Amino acid sequence: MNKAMHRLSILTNGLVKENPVLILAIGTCPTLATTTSVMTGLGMGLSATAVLICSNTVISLLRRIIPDKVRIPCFITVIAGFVTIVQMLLKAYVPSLYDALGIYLPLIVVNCIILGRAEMFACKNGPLDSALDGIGMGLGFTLALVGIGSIREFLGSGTWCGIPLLSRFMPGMGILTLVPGGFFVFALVMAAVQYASRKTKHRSRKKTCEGCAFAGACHELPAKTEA
Amino acid sequence: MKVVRSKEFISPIIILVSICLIVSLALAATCYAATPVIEANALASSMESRIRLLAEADSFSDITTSTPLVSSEDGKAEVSEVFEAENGAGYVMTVTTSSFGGKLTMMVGINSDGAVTGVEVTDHSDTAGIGTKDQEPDYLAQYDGLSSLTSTNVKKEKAVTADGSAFEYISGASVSGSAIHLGVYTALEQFAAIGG
Amino acid sequence: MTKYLIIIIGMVLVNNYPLAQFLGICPFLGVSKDLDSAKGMGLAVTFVMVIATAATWPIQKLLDLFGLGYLQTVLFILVIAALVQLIEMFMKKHIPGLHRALGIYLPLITTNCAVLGVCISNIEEQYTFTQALVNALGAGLGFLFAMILMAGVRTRLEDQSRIPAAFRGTPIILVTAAIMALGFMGFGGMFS
Repeated sequence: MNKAMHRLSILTNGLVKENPVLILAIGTCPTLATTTSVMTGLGMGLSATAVLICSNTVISLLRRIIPDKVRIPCFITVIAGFVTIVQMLLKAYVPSLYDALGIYLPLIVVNCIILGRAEMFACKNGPLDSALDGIGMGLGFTLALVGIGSIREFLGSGTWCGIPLLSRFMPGMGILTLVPGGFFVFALVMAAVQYASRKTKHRSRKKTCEGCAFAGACHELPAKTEA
Repeated sequence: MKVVRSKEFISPIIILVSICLIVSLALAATCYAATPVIEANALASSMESRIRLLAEADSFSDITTSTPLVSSEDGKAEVSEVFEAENGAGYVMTVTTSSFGGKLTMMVGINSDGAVTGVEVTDHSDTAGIGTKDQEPDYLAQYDGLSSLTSTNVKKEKAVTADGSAFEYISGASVSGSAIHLGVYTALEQFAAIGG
Repeated sequence: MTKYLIIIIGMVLVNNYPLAQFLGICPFLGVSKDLDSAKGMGLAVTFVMVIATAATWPIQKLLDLFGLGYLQTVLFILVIAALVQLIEMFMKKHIPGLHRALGIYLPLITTNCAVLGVCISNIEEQYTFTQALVNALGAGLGFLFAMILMAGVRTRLEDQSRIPAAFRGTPIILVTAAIMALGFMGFGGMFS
């Protein structure tokens, strides 16, 4: 019973409490680039989720074999392998999505969320827990992307998932599907999250790069600049 | 001393290399499975474009290898594929030209009378929104019905479009516009070379 | 020559990586707190981009030769990671001055999507070797430019007391980036 509860908390952790995009603010590049419409956001989210689940599981299985010294290169190789597999499968079976995601598909490799979870969770926990963590984090990422994508598509093109809604009454605010709109909508969503977490007295994390594999090196920065 | 060395350096290297090898093998297997599907997709989609460009045709045969291929005088545009409609409705040429962002691939349909039936850009590396205005259907439709162009330079083009108005190029969007224009010009030359 | 100039200006202004292509956003938001670190990060990224391009472009040709194109992502990221390590070790030993200035930013660069991004886009755009190097240089300079601009704006944002509480921290930086991106859209019509 207790174990089941623990597993459930691993699963839901990534959805809300440590949502990679909205709370930890990592993986911002794909978040901004692929949320011009709901479908591309969903495609990106699910691709990253698939990679995250597979890489988390495999890294967790290999965690006793991989020597600490070459940890990062090993993780990167495994992740890059899965990314390429997803890339080839999309190209073969969903070519429209492959074209829409373009360069951001291979760039899943350097998505901080994936390497971050390998470093922070998968190499310390069992395969089942790691897979659950991957599902939770991946779905949290997907959820955030679909949410931001919905706002941008609904107001920017007047449609949702390609279904005309607002566009029947007025032309969309095209700027929201462009670069400045991406930054602006993301800013508003982040502000809304901060507002909500202040209201519920839920303390959001301060360090934006906490989930990143190189957080250690990152934290040297403020110390250096103050000196 | 030597034993410590092997533990510290050799075993991590062996593990890293074997992980790399396993990943490569897995990728090779996926690639082996996915390549036929990808190629079939590409073939099907380019066939679809050909039918769209030359609606009267029923099916096409690839005559690229048996045709001497034409390229423009400056070498910027060259015909890479020629497909002939099996019912004699005309030809569809694939032309590659160079635009601002790099290579631009387009298809031009020409009917048996030598008139352009359609132009479509199939692949380009220009940034969306910049230099892509002249890849929009409205602009490309200006070429429909033309059987000759007066100049390889889009800005000096004197041809009259099918609806009787003068040919208009998009000002400030000249690089890919020029590339497309040169591509159509080369395709028409290719048609003349085939002797259609 | 004009071709190279067009590539550089295009990458710095029209296709600026953080402000027009959404590449390298993490350091753009995270390491732009002050001018010094922004400059350091920008220079380190430019440096690694050019060297990584010089290394990955020939590798891709080799892969194409053997029909192993599917190993692109795996090899590129491994090469970049190894390269960053090597550069850091080399700098530490031989150019300690430069290492003090750029060293701490180097480990961060492995997972910077702008570096892998420029390597892959060089291949996709089918650039020649020199064009690829120029493109990498342009992308790096564009990144540096955006970092410096952002750092300049952020020194004015240090006093956060006048910003609505919900917008403090990351959201206000994103709003700033949105306005900057709006400005950069104006360069869009430069060449086409």
